Amino acid sequence: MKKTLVILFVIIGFNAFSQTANQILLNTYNKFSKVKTFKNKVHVDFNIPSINIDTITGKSYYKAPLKFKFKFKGIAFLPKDNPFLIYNFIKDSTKYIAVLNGTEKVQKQNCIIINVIPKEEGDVMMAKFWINPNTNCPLKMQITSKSNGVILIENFYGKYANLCLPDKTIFTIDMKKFKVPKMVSADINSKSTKSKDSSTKTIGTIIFNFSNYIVNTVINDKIFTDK
Amino acid sequence: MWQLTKIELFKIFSKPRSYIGFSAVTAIAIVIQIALYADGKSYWDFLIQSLDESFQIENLTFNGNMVCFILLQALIVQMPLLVALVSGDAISGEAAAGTIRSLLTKPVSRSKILWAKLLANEIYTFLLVLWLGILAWVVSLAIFGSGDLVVLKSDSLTIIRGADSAWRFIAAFGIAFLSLSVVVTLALLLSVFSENSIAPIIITMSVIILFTIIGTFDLPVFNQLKPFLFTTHMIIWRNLFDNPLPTEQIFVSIGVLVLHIVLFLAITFYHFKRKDITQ
Repeated sequence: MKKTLVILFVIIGFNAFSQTANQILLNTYNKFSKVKTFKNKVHVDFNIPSINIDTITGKSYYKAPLKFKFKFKGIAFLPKDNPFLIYNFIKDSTKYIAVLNGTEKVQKQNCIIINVIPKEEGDVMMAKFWINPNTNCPLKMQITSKSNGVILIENFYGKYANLCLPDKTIFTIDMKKFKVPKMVSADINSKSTKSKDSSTKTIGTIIFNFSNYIVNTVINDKIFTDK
Repeated sequence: MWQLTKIELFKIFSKPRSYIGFSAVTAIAIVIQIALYADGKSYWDFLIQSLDESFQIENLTFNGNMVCFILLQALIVQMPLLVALVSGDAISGEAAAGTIRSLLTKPVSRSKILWAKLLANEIYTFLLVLWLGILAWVVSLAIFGSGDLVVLKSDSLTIIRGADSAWRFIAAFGIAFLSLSVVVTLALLLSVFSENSIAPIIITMSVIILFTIIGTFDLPVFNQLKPFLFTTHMIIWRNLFDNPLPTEQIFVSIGVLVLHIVLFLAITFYHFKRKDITQ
């Protein structure tokens, strides 16, 4: 009898815990879902090993649920996925299992850590959220996907925190070290830099500074298909 | 002086070998441009495939600035040989043909004759670099369009914004001209010491090939020698496409190249003014 009661409490406790995690994620989604469209100015800093590239300024456009586009006049290295795609992933709580995984301070704010595992096999294998329960905005997200490996996204909020629209987002991306044969690059006279680190992987960061948001304005679909 | 230079220019351009340089530059540029027009994108995709796996690379189009850079890499190494073909013949060619005596009997000082020959060879070199600039840069921009320049090294990529690349190319052509001037003065120096038309050309080419090979190998003994070889400093044009610009390194190399020119000219003038003309 005692054993049964203990098991019952564990199951009820787990469900309650799980519902809380789901609820927090849904609150986050509901807050962001008020944003149907936005456009803004974006200033991008690149900190990618072996890539020497100046900062670039452009615009970004979003249209719910999945359309997103950066527009730059020049070469830019960007994350492969739309930074707001994850909101679409968390909107349907029947498609994933969410588990509370403790708390942690991020940007001096107490955050609840939630691990999310999709029930069905897809590109996203696992996601981890650090969400401020007071604002319901994710301050940090770690997404493990088949196509892009592990991507860490850190959001800094300001004027548009009420819509979970960040002023600054830092993408940390696992990447392969850049290397091509000297003869192929016709770089036969340069000195080779001998690195002690023999691993083929390294980490790159891309910092987006967003400003001048115009939210829920009319955005032509053509913008998302233009090259 | 200008009259003498014009005569020397006439001599240069009346020799068929003087057109080898222009023909070679034209042929190489056209062949590379056709090849890159046909396969440039797939070649480029192959080079950056490791980055393409991690990032979405926006606006990376194969453009005229990138083609120009590839052409410069391919051609600037070969151009000293083309210049030596003309400059190495400047004095020794006249000695071999027996015209040096009649030239020196004119009421003009030996120094003036040598200055005229130097100036004529520098004008020839300038025209060759200008031709390279027109073919490599202007024609490439016309065919492939403009855009950001991607400088590819074996372990890094530097992206120079399109608007920031024009002055770098102009400076690169300037340094290429300075580098070729070292070759002109070296060939002229060897030409003064020789009475055979071919020897100075062959020796100049051999010196450049030897120095370039030494510069290519990453061996400790060669690394000690490299700072003293002019060929090491001739490739400094590439550093103009670094970000941030290694200004000190560029000026040191320019200084070394100028010192070589001064040294070679000093020996040339010293010897030519005292040379006993026997033929």
